[in-house]
Amino acid sequence: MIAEGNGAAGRAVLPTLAATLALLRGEEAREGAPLGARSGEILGQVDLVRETDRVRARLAEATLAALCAGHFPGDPVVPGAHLLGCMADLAGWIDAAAVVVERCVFRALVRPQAGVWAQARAERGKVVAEIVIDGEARPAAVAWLVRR
Amino acid sequence: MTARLMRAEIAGLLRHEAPALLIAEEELAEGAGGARRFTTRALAGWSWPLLVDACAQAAGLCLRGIAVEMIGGAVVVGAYAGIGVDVGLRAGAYTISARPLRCLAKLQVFEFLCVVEGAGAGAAGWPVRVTLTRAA
Repeated sequence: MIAEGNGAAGRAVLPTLAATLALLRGEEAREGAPLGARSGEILGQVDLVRETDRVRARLAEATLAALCAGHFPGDPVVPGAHLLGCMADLAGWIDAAAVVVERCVFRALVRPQAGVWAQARAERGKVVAEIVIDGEARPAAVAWLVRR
Repeated sequence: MTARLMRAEIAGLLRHEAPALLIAEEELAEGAGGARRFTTRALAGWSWPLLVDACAQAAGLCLRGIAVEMIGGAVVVGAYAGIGVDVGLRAGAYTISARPLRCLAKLQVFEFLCVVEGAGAGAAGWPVRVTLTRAA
């Protein structure tokens, strides 16, 4: 758990991301793919920053690459569904009851690279979650989550 | 009626391989309203994003049957909608029925309704709306 307050930073596990990575890892092992050196790794762990009006998580390049396994081999693009999973995890920090993805739009391809963030904030009764890339003005993806 | 797709053909059309290739085969029977039905691979477990990705793959396979101009193009997911993420999923295979909701051919925008059937998906199935478009 991280400290509260403006700009408080720490580490946290995103539950949906962790579950997805574990399942992908299991499928890779079942297919005979090498697991590689991953000792001490905590699946789904991210650097998380909690600010006054939003929460942000930096998605590590290795994490994004793991989500691309087998997806357009040789031309890795992070599947939108997995980006949405990260956005929904962040939305849960704002409002745990916001469990319906009203809509999620993708504006740019996201490749495994440094400087990719998921972030979420409350806005007009909804949670707005985004994928943003350092140096890019527009979010690569935006999702709106609401309560049932 | 489009010919039934088998596993090797599906992998080639989607340009995915394990663990990302989530659709195993197309079922022979049509779903309601002419929907095409697909069976997923049987996984040891599912997270909801994995099943959403499977829906996108099912929609992509449907697209190849209705929009010839998109064949060979880089098709990407433009949007998802109407997804309840508090679904409880189980191990095993799921069935996905996919049918087009909107086909804006000139804009190259195609929206599909995918309904997931199987353990934990609820009696009426678990709906996922997928919009596919051509990569910019």
